[in-house]
Amino acid sequence: MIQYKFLNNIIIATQEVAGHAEKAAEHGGDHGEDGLSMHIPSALTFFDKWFGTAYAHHFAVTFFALLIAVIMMICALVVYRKRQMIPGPFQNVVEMIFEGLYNLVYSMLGKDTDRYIPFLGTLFLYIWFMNLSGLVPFFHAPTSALNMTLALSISVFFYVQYISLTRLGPKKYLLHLCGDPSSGVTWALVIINFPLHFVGEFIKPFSLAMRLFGNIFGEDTLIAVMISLGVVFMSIFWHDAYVGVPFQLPFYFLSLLLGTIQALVFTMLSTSYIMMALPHGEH
Amino acid sequence: MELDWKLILTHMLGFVITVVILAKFAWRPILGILDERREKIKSEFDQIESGKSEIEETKAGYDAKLKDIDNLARQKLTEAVNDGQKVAAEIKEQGRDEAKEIIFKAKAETDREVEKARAALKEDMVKMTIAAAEKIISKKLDEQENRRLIKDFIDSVEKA
Repeated sequence: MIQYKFLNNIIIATQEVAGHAEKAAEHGGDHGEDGLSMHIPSALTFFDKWFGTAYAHHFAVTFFALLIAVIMMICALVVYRKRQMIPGPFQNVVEMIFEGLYNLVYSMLGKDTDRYIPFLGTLFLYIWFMNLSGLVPFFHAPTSALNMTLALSISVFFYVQYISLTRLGPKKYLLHLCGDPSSGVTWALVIINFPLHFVGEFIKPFSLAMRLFGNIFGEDTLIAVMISLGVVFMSIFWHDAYVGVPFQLPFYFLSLLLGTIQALVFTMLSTSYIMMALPHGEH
Repeated sequence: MELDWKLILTHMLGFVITVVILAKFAWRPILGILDERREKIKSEFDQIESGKSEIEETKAGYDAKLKDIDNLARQKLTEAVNDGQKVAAEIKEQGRDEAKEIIFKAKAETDREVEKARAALKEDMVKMTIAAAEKIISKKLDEQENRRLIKDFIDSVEKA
């Protein structure tokens, strides 16, 4: 008898898994590029539910990216307003992060650090917070959408081109794209070098965007799947349970680690692109 | 997108557990580092402050000493000037005394010389008077001759 009940539960659970997958496929349709994505409902879904709107959750990426930007600005303002010679705990944390970032960038850019640290530091913190926001309930990681990561990497692309043009000058910029030809042989190789460098410049931001998107999207999906699995697993034993087994727990820590690493990788690669664009840059 | 409370609650449960674990195993060491950093900065500032006040004290001490030295030098200078003035006055006084003495001596000498001359003159006069008397006696005297003789005698005296 007990065995039969257990089997029955499994059958119901399996049907639920199928239901979740179906639901996920439906949700995915809303999100455009990530057709197979599976998301845990964010605060905007509640907004839709309670205010009867149907489109708020389409703006999840934009909304949460903006929200994180605003939170960062408020943090920066608070630290700036209440700055002291002997730092309090909050200022201490912010200072430590900034110091670490500065030293990291300094190891690559040297004396040019002061000029580019505002962009690179903000980039890191922004991406970092966006990556980690996927772990917070009612939030949604904006970086799990290719649109967001592409926007970031295109910003980096234009910034790097601007730096290259202004620091090298138009002539040297073009020569740089041709692979800095000096002798007859290298001039002959410009035919090969130029397209290579040219395409390379465009591949750089694309690779940045794809890497970040793939990692964070993967993490988010993994966590979503694990949560669904936990819910299903729980319903095998107790069909009316309100909460599932938190199978996603180990992946939270993985996401904490990977989210930080990915933000760091994005920033460090951007730094290296800037370094290459500078006059003294060596390939 | 439909709301699935089971998913959200599971998500929240996992999040809370993560936060608890992090609070226990990650935040404590991080806060320890932060406290350490704060203490370090504070102690450095304190050191700088105490160093500053020390330097201030030393400077004040040196200033006072310098002032003392200045005063001493001024005092010495005044003393020297006073001494010099005293010596000068003494020398002046001595010079005046010496001059007085010299003048006095010279006067006495002169007086003596005059006295001597006067005595010599008197002697001469006596001699001449005697000689004249002899002449008067030896010659025949008349009134006119007498008068002439006396007149000659007086002239000779005046000449002398």
